[in-house]
Amino acid sequence: MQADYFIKAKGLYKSYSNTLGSSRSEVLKGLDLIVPQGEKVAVMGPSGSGKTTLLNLIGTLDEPDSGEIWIDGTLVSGIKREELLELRNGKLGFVFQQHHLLPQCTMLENILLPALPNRNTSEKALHRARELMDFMGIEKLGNNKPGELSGGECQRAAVARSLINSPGLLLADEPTGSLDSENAGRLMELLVRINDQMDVTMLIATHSADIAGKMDRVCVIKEGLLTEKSKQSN
Amino acid sequence: MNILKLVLRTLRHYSRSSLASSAGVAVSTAVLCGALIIGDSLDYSLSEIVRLRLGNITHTITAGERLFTGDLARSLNSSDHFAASSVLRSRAVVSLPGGVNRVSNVNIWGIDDDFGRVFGIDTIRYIQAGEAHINRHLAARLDTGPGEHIQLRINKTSTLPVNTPLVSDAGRIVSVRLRVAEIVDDSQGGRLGMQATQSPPYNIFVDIDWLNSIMDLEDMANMLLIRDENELEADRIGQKIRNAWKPEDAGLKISSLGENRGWEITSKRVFIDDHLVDAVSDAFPDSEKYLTYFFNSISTSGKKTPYSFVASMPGGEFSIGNDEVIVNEWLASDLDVFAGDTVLMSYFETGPLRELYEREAWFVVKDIITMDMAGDYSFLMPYLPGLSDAGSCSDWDAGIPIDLDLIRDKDEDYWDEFRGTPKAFISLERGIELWQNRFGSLTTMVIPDNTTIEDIRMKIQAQADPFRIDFRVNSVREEGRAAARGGTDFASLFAGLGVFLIISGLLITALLFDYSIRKRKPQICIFAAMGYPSRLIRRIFTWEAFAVILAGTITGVLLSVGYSRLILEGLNHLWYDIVRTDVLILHISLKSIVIGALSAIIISLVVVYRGIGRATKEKTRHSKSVSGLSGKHMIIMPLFTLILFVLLLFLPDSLLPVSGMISYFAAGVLLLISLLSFYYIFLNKPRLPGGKMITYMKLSWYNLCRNPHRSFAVVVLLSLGTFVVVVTGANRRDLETDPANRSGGTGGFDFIAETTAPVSRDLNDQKNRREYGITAEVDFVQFFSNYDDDASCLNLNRVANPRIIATGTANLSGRFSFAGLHPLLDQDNPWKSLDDSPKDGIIPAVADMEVIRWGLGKSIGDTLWYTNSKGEEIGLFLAGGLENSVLQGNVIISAKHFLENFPDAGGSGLFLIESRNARPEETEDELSFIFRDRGWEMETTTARLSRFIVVENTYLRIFFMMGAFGMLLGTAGFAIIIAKGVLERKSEMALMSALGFPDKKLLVITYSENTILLLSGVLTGAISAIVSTLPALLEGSQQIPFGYLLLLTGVLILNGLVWILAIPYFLIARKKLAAALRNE
Repeated sequence: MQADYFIKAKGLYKSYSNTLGSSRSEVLKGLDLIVPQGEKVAVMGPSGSGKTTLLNLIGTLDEPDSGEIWIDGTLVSGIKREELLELRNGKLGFVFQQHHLLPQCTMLENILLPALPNRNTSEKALHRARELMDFMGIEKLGNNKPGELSGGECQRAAVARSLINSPGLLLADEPTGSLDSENAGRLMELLVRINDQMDVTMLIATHSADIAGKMDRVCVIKEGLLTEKSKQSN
Repeated sequence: MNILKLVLRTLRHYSRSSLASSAGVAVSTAVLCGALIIGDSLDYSLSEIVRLRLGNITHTITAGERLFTGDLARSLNSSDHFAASSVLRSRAVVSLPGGVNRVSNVNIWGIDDDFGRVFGIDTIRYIQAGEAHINRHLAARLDTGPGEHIQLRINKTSTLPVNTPLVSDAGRIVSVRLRVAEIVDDSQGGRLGMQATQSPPYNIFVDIDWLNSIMDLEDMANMLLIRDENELEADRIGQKIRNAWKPEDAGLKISSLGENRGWEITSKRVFIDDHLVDAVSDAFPDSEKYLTYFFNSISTSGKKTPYSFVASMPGGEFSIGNDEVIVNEWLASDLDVFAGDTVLMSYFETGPLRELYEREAWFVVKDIITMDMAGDYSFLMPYLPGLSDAGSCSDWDAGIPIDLDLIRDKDEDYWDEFRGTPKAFISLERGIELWQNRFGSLTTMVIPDNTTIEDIRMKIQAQADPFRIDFRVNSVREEGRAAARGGTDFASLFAGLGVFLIISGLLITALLFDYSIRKRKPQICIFAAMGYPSRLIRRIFTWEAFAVILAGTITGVLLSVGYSRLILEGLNHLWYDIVRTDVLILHISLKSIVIGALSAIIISLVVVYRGIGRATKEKTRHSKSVSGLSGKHMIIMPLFTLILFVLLLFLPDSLLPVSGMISYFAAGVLLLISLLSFYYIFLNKPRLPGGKMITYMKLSWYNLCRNPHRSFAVVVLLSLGTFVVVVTGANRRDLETDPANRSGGTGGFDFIAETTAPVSRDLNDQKNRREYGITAEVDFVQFFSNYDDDASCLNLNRVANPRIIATGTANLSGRFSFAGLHPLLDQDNPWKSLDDSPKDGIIPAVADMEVIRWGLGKSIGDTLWYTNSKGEEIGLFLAGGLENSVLQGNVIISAKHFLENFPDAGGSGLFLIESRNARPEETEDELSFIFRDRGWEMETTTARLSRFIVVENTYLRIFFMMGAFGMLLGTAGFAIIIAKGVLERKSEMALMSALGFPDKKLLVITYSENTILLLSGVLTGAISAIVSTLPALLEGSQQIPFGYLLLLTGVLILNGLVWILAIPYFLIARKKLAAALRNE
C-alpha cells in the first residue's frame, strides 16, 4: 500500500550497555519521526545524541529496544529476513562519512556492487551506473581504483553506489565529514539535485549548518527525542 | 561484476597477506603430505626388500635341524611353473686371513644349478669348489674383493642332532679358506634371506656339492627353495612334498640283513622318530623293534665289565621279563655270573645341554647265550660316530666320558672280535622305559624278508607324514609381504611427529586470515548495508579463502616431496638407529597426495571458516562480547578438563582406561587445555588491575584483551610448541645405570651374548668349564631357540612368529619386572608359571610389553600360533609382558615345554651372563676369546638396552626437531602479530605521543602486553609438560635433565623477547609518530 510517508518511526527506544554489562545508557527515549516521500531531512544534534543510532535503526542495520518503523508502508520489525534484505538492497541507500569503497575494485565495479545480490549485473545495471557517473561528474574515472582518486571523487562514487538500485530512501551519515569545504559543497549540490530529479527521500545526519540549510526540514535530537527546528534558526 | 571477479580482484589487491596465509597452509600441507609419502615410501621399500630377499621364491621347505636328500628337489621339478632348488644352509664366522675383520652370523648358502632358475637371476653362475660369491654388504664389512681370500669357520650341519646321546659334539665347526670369486649385488640375489627384516644380511654362496663334502655329507640339503608361479596354498605344496618324499629324506636307512634275515631299518639320527616307528609298524605289523644303548658298566659283587652295548628286544626267541637280563657267555664269564644272579647296569642319561646323569638298574640273569647266538644280533649296534668307526676301545670318542684306564686287554680283544655285539639283552619294554629320549625310542626295526626295498619305501611313504617330523612349508613370499604391509606405520608416526608443525601452520593461517578479515570489517558492513545476505558475504570470503588455501596446498604438495626426501635421507643416515637400513626409497603415490591435499584443504577451510563466520555475523557498532558463548557456558571446558586432570593424576591405575606414562601424558595435555581455557575466559572477561585510575599496566591489559582471539591464538601457539619441546626433552630415556638391579631391564645380568654356532654344553658345569678353559667367575643362563624373526623395535616389519627362546624357569626367578601380568600367572613368581601344563595345546609365554603392544599388535591374554616339530599347532599364550628388557624381540617359554615341542634343540645360541668378577671386562675378553670360533658376540646388557632406548630417543629427537621447527614457525607468527599489532595501532600511538607520552613509555606498554603473551604461552606449556613427566620424577627411575629443560625454556623465552623488544623499537621509537596523526 502506497503510504503518504516514506519513513514513519514511532516510539523508538534504544539503549546500549557497557562492555562489562554493568550499566546501560539510553540514547533514544521514545523518538517519533515521519518523513514524507521525496522530502530531504537533516538530523542534527550534539555528538552522542543518537544521530547515527537513528540512521542505523531506520536503515535496519540495528534493532530498537522498542518502537516501530515503517519504510515505504512496510513495517520493518518482525519481517522475514529475506524481505528485510530485499528492502535494504532495493529501497535503501547508504552513504557514510568514510566512502568505504573496496580498494581492490575499480570505481565502476564499486558502483555496481549493490546490483550483485539481485543478480542485476546486466546491461541495465551498467547503463544505470554510467548514468550515475555522468550525473556525479566522474564518468571518466570508471577504471580507476579508489587509491587513485581524491576523497571527493571517492565520496561521489559512494553516492553513486548507493543509488544504483534506484532506492526510495538515501541515508547519509555525515557524508561531507571527511571532505574539504569545496568538495563538501559540491557533494551537497549533487544530493539536492538527486532529491529533485530522482525524487529520493533523504535523511542526513550532519553537524553542518550549511547542509542543514539546504534541507527541506531540520530535526534535532535532544535528550533522546526529536524536535523540529525552524530553518531560520539554523 | 560477479563473485569470481570480485574474489580475483581482492586476491590481487591483498596479495601480500594472501601469500603469507597460504605459506601457513603450505607448511601444514607439506608436513601432512610428507608423512603420507614417507609412509608409502617405507611400505614400498619394505616390499622392495622382500623382492630383493626372495626374488621369485614363493615358498621354502625346511625340516628343522634335519637334512634330506637332493632327490627331493629333483623329483619336484615337475614343470616350468613349479621349480625347486636344493640348498644346504649353515652359518659361519668369516674373517680375512689372520683373523682380521671377523664377522659373525654369516649365512652360507650351498646352492646348485637350479638356484638361478628358482630365484630368477642368472648371474650367480656355476660356483667352483673352493670359491665363494659374497654379497656386497659382507664385502664392504670385510673390506675385500674378487681374488682375495677369506677364512670361514662353518657350523657343520649333520644328520645327527647336536645333543644326540652317545655322540660326541666335537668337530662341529669346519674351518676352510675360500677365494672370493665375485661380489653379488642385492638385485642379483645378494640379499637372499628368509628373515622378515630390513637389515641386510651377510651372505656367502658356495657350491652345494663342495659344501656337502666338507661336512662329510653326500647330496644332502636342509632347505628347498620353491618357485611356484601359481602361488599354491601351503597345503597343496605340502601334498606335493608328501608325494615326492622318501624315507631317506627322514634319515632312514633300509638295508638287507642277509638272505632270509629280513630288512633292517635304522636312522642316521641314531634314534628313530616315534612317528616313523608308528608308520613302519602300521605298514609292516610284523616288524620287530629294538633299542640298543651303551652302558658305562655292568657289575656284580666285586666284578665289573666296562663299556658295553646292551640291546632291548621284543619277546619271542628270548622272552625276557622286565627285570630280567640275558647275558652272552663272554659277559657271564667276565662277571662270573649264572642264571639267577643279579647284575647292576649303569648308564648315562643326557640332558638338553649334554648334562650327564648316571642312572642304574638291577636285573636278574635269566639265561646265558653263546657268542654265536649273540653274534646274530651284532647288527643291533647303532652307527655311532666315534664309537662304531673306532679301531680300538682306546680310540672311542663317544658323547660320554670314557675312562681309558678301565678298559682292559680283554675288552680290546672283545672289540676286535665282536665289535659292538650286545653283551646283554633286556626286554624292549624295559629298554624303552630306561633309554627312550626326545629323539626317539628305537634304534632298529626289522622287517621280514618277504618284501622288497621298493615296497618298503612305498609303504613307509604312504604311512608316514614328513610334516610330523619337522618338515614345514613356509610361505615366505606371502608372509614377507604381510610383514612388510603390517610394518611400522610411518605415515601416522610422522604425521604425529609433525602434528605441531601442522597445527602451527594452520594457526598462522587462521591468525593472518583473521587479521585480514578484521581489517576489512568495514567492507563487510558495506556489503551488509547493500543488502548482501550473510550467506553471500560468507561465500565471497570463503572463495577467497579457498583460493589462498588451494595455492598453499599446491605449494605444500610440491614442498612435501622435498620434505619427504629430506626425512628419508635422515632415516637412511642420521637416524639410522630407527630403520637399520639405507635402502629407503622415495615412492610417491597419487592416492596419498590427493588424500593429503584434500585433508589439508578441508582442515584449513574449517579453521578459517570459523573466523569468516564470526566476522560476517551481522552486528552493529556496539556489539556484545566477541565470544559466541555466554559467560556461564565458557566455564564448562576448563572445569571439565581440570576435573579429568585431577582424576587421571590421583585415581589408581586400575580404574583408568590408560595407565603409566600415557596417563601422565594425557594429564599434562588436559592441564594444558584447562589452563588455556581459563586464559581464554580471562581474555574475554578480564578483571583489570588498577581500580578506576588509568595505569600503564591497565593499558597493556586493555590491548591484550581487545582482540582476545588473536591473543589466545598466540598463547596457544607458544604453549603447544613449548609443551612439545619440553616433553620430548624431559622424556629422553637414559641408560640404566645399575645393571645389577635384578628388577630392571638387565635382569641383574652383566652381559648378553649370541653365537653363530650354538654351544651344546652346560657352561655352568665345572667339568665343561675346565674343558673350555673358562676361569672367570660367571654364571650363565642359556637359552634354546627356534624360529628366527625379530619382533623388537629394531625391526620395521611386523612379524607374526617372533623367535621363541627357552630356559629353565628357575634361572629367571626374581629377574626383570612385569608391566603386565595375566591373572592366570602366579603373581608372586610369574616365571614359575611358565612350567604349568599346557591346556588344549596352549603354552604360557612371556614377551616384552612394548613388543606385545606395538611389535605384534597384541595384548596380554592373546595367543601366538606356531607349528612344532611334530607338525602340531601350538599356541603361545601371552601371559606376561616384561618392562623394557634386554630380551625384547623374543617370546620366552620354559625349557620343559620347548623341548617337548622342539626336541632337536641344538644347544644354546643366546646367553645371559652374570659376572662376579671385580673387573667384568676381563670376563668379556676371556669368553670372547674362548668362543671366538663360534662367532661369540657379547655386549653389556646396558649396551643392548641402549640400542632399544636409542630407537625411542631417536623418535623423540625427531619429534623435538619438528617441535623446534614448529616453535620457530610459531615465533615467526608471533613476530608478525607483534608487527601487525603495532602498525594497527599506529594512530593511537601517534595520539599518545602527541599527548606527551615519551617513546619509552609507549614501548613499555607494547613490551608488557607481548611479554605477558609470551610468558603465558611458554609457562603454560612448560608446566603442563613437567606434569607429563611426573612418574619419572616421583619414581626417580629416570633422570630429568632439569638443567637442560631450564635452558630450553630460557632459550624459548629469550627468543620471544628478542622479537618483542626489536620490532616495536624499530616501528615506534625510530619513526616520527606525530606524522601519522597529521596524515590521519
